[in-house]
Amino acid sequence: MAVGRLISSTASSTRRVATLSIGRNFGVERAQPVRGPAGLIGRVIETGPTTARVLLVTDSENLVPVMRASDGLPAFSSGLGNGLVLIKPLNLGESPFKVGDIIVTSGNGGLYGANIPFARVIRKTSDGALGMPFADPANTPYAVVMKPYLGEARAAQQALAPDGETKEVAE
Amino acid sequence: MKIPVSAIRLPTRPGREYESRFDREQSMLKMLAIPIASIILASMVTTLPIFSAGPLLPPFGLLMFLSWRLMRPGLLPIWSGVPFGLMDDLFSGQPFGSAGLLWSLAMLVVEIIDSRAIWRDYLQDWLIAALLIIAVLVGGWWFAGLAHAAPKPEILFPQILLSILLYPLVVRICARLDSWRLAT
Repeated sequence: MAVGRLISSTASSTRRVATLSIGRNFGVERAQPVRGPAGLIGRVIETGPTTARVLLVTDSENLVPVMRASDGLPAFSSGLGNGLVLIKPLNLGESPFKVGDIIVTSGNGGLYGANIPFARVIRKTSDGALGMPFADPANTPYAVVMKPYLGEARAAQQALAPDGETKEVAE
Repeated sequence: MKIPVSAIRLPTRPGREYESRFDREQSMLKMLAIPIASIILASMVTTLPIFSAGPLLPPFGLLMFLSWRLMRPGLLPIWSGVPFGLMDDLFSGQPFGSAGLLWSLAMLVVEIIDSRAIWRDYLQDWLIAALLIIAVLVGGWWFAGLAHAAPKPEILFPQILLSILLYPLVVRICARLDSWRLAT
């Protein structure tokens, strides 16, 4: 949809936010996924006239629905703040991951489309795995801002919410 | 021919040959602007294209602020932690106001220490700065985790270590700036 460059990051803060070189002048809006050539980078959380801020997938606040590329094993990923992500599968019991497993986004729930390369498992933990994201913000020549996956369907579903509470979920 | 003593000339700086060489005063603008500008520019280091996996870049604004405060007591007023901290918050990515509070608390702590231990040497200043750096970084981590999920506090260790070790360098930069500030 729009292509920019990552120009800065919060290198001294515990939050992992990067600055993107394009903003509203190129149609960048809040809650749009951002990816690079290597994989998913994050989502837009703030936009300015000419820049935007991207919450990286390594931030502890960023939760991404993912799956194992080989068999579609569903899982969630959350950042650890140190450049790695924690991948937790939905199934119970011992962690089914192996070192070297490829994780991609699953597209569940919208926002992030399916099959965007996400991370490689580098260590197995007792209830999940540690993953190293493919997209390194320091080594990403371009960042592509995409339309939210199933954005209209999500908006329609939230507008139809019977209790009215879901409508207040502003992305 | 013998040169009379009165003909010996002191070296003059180019462009200032016709100015008085004694009874000069510092430029008021330089005296005020250099500390303010150096702290704000140090806070703006995060806008450079530096990408790190975790929090690794030392908080240069805080280091510069503490150096000025510890090297020149009385230069920065006690409330100056609020404007400088808020300016730092604009660039650091922390929640707005966290450094505004933490830096002014650090100012109050230095003020209390100043009233107790008046004659200090450089190592004691370094120790005070190290403790304040730890407190401000841990406080910033706590503020960032108030409303959102926070990472584990262990990821702050490398940044704390780097900041403490870089403090002497920042003090030296600060001292150079100070001699430039007070030069006539």
